[in-house]
Amino acid sequence: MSRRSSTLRFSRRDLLKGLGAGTVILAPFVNHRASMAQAAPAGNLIIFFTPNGHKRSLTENNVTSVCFDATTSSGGTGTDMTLGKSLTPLAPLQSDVAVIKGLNLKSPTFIASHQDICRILTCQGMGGTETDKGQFTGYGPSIDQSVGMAFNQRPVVVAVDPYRDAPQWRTFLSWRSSGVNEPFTKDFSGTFTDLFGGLTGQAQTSDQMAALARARARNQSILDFVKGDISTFRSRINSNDRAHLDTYLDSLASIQQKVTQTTTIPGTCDASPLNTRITSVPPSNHVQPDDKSPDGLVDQMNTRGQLWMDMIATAFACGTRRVATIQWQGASEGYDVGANTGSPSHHSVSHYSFGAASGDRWVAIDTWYATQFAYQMNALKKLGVLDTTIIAWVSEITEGHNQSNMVTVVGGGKGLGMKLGQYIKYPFVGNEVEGANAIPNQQNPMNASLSDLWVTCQNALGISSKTFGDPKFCKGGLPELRAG
Amino acid sequence: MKTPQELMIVNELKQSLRPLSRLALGLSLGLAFSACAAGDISGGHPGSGNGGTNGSGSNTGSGGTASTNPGAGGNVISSPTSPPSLTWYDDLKAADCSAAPTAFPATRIWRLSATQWKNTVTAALGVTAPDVTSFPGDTVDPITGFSDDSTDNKVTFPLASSYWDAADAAASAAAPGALTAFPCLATAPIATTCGQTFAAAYGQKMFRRALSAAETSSYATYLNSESKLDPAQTAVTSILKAMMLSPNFIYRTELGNSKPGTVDLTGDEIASMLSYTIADMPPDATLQAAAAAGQLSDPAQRETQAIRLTGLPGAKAKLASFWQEYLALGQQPTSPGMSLSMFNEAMTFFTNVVWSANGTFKDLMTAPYTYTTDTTLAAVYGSAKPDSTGKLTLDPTQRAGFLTSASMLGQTSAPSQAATVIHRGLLVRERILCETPPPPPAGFVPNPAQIQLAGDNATARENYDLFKMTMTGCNACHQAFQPIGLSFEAYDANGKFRTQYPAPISKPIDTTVTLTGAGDANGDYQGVVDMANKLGGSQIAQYCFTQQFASFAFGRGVGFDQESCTIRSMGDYVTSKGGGITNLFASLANAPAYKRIHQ
Repeated sequence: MSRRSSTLRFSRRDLLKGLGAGTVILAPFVNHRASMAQAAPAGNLIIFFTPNGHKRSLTENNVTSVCFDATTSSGGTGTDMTLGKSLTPLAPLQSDVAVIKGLNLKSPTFIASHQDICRILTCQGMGGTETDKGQFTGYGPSIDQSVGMAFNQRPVVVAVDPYRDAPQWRTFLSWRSSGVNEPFTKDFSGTFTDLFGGLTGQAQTSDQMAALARARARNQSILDFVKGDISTFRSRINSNDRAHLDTYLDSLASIQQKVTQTTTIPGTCDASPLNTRITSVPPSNHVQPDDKSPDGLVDQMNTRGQLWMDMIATAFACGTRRVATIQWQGASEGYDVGANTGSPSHHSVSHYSFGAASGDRWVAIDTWYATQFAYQMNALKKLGVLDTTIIAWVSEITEGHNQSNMVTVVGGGKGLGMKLGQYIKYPFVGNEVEGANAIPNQQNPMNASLSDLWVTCQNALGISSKTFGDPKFCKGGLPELRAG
Repeated sequence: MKTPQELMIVNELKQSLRPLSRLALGLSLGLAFSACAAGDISGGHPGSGNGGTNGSGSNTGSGGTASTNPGAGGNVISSPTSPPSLTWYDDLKAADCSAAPTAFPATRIWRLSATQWKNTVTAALGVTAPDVTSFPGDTVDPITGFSDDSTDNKVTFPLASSYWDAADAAASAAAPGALTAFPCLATAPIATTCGQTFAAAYGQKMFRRALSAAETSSYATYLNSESKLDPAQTAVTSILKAMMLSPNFIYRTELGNSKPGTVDLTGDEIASMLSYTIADMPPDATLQAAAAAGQLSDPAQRETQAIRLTGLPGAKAKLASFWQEYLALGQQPTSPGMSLSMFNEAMTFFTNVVWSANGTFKDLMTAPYTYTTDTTLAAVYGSAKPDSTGKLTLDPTQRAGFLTSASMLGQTSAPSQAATVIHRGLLVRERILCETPPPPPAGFVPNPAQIQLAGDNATARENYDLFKMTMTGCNACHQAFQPIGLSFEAYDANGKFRTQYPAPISKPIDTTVTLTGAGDANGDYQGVVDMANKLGGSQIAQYCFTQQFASFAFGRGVGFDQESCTIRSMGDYVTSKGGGITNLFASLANAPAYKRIHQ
């Protein structure tokens, strides 16, 4: 990565535009948000979500091959890991990868299916008898938001899908709190502004410094006034509607960080190459709110996905953000990125709608995503933050309609104590059955809990938590993945 | 084998339109590809958990009852959390609506949509319409399928960021005009009396109501303090920005006097309700005057205002947004091609039928014409050419309204024969009859082969006949929609009319269908045209359509179980006016009752 001088002079306009002016901001430099970085422990988190589960093994001509999984000589946990064919793109990075088999989502919706995109990061159920709307609702916060809150910063939640527009149940992945979905963004410029644009150049003159100080104070006064307004307004509304204002206040708190906490650029990182790529991203010419989209989008998926991954890596390297969620596609839909066919062909492949060819196509999809996962790891490695970043790859289902005996890939975080370069296999008691029938097996105390993965991530990131999600299904972490 | 042109059309069809949201959900749950083990279910669906869980309910009182959460002075109507029951039509007809209602929705706040935000800023500040294209899309409610649900739509961080930036731009643009309009603002620091006058004037426009004395004082004090630190124009920009970020601006209110118990909406709130609901705009001067004069407590006055607002351009745009979500058309494609042509076909058809000829729901269901200027799309319908307006007259024995349009047929096409049949059957069962079959049972294993048991070379009816004999448990629900879908086999994946399957099936197509569970539309039909003609004039379809419009208009799920009388009132009003769909807007004047329960 090129390093450029931090002494570049900024005009007064350049200095101020990052403080909330209503223009697109593409600051050429980024800086270190020192106050946050100093207060929080080192370490970053990426949630890497792909839909429709994975093809763990494939039997053809009576020969079974391991696909989205791994093996060892003992057949169980071990460091002599051989990656399955879908995961071979990760082979060069194998020492920084752990493949975990046997985790279960213990608080799924009543149907334990694709809708559980809303639970996979929360591990928290509604409790009692769920309603239909309940099955689309997360009871958060999700792990990304939970970690972000501990870091006092807003995770960046991005969608790669160029056609997805309005959030709907297929995309309900990240939850700010119970019932409050954190919507994805697919706006590169806006996200760049969010990640880097609130930062300023090195103020060189007293005039510039005064202008910066006044801009910050002005923004603060507007926000203070609005908060006062909200307080008065709150007294008039129905108690059920107070969640609206809570969400708004939460959003304003993040706005406040963005527009009042700017510091100068130390010159340690350079986001400017991203600008060029942002401007060259092809527009999506047909915004679809649901799951039909055309063939031939794999190039867009590639371009957009890799730009997001580089932006995230850069933000981590620069210290401007420490938590990100990248959602490649929505649940129960998706392009077949291997065959370059439109959505929902990924979902159709996962249900064998293309007959015997579906198996190979599914493996090809998983392999394509493994290539992207490797790209993310390499992007972090190049910027020197792989060892301090945990990337967790999850899907909303395992292979059928359940979250039983899942295979999860975790990359990075060696510097945070993550024990990588190994296959971890937890025993699974029971059969993998479909839908609601799977829930008892998933909740069997003998079966490992996905929520323990999230506890381990929290602990690795310096958050001293012993539980996540529904506490009755959490045992305090995965010691095999990271020593307590 | 499809020709290259046909393949192109199919691909474009797939690109241009999406399945209905609930339909899509059903498919995700496996309806299209479901395969239950033969005889594995006999009747119920263990663990399915919806469809029939809300509203077997008779109306226990009038005006929409069977409510929950009793509050002081009345009962609170809550939005349904699952699709309507299969008996909703009978329940609705049986509801006793003779007495005054005793149950009302809860008081609420309702965030402005991006369009409403833009129109309000434009009207209040007199600036060029702000660019709101960067505003994040609103969440599509999984139950109603509409994106304007007042509970769902919160100010998330991405939206707050957009507000911050857009408010900055709009306030900066408006500030010079404010200084001109209020010369006293130029004297630094800005006097409190000047600030109060300014805040009262701008606040009323921004908040769609008069500000309280405390509010004007607060804003004036703020303006005074800012003007000591910044130039006047900057200070005015700051106060305008603060107003735009105020919840009083961002949210519409239905709070009345905010006292616990039953409350009457204020005149200003009724004005906002009518104006935003009908035209996505803040109350204009006429409506404000009516509110100030206390006229809007009178249903006749509300009706007069609603009819007037229906004539504004905003109403046409508002209804267009309804069609887009009701029919799940998505957003308008930005590049030329079949996708755009199909989108335009659907939108032009609905707009022209509804607005040009005071069209009725029956017209939408039966019109033997469509609109397109795309010759490739027109060719789907045969050799006839569109006239100079783009109107394409169709064979009335082959086509009837939007169900047989290329755009809708394309939207419901799928890779497999059975899935296409299911998509199209569900379209009628769910959207026209408001009946959502339960999802597949727990434990089903998707396998398309099991739903095309007779094979790919058999007709869809042959496959279904085998399916219903061998998969009896599955057919308990599939019989509600799959036979309907069979009648659509008269149209191929492109939407072309046909009477015989191409090789290798090479058999005539039997499109007959017996419609059951469809209220006054029950009966035997020769095909889709026959069925559409009956459905178009049926009461069940009219009320179903009304219920969906009500959910859109009210920004919340309007349940048959609790609000039968509201739906009936609206539907009957439209019928009394000759059936014109635009009358739905004026039907709001009487329903719902303009009361709320505050808790």
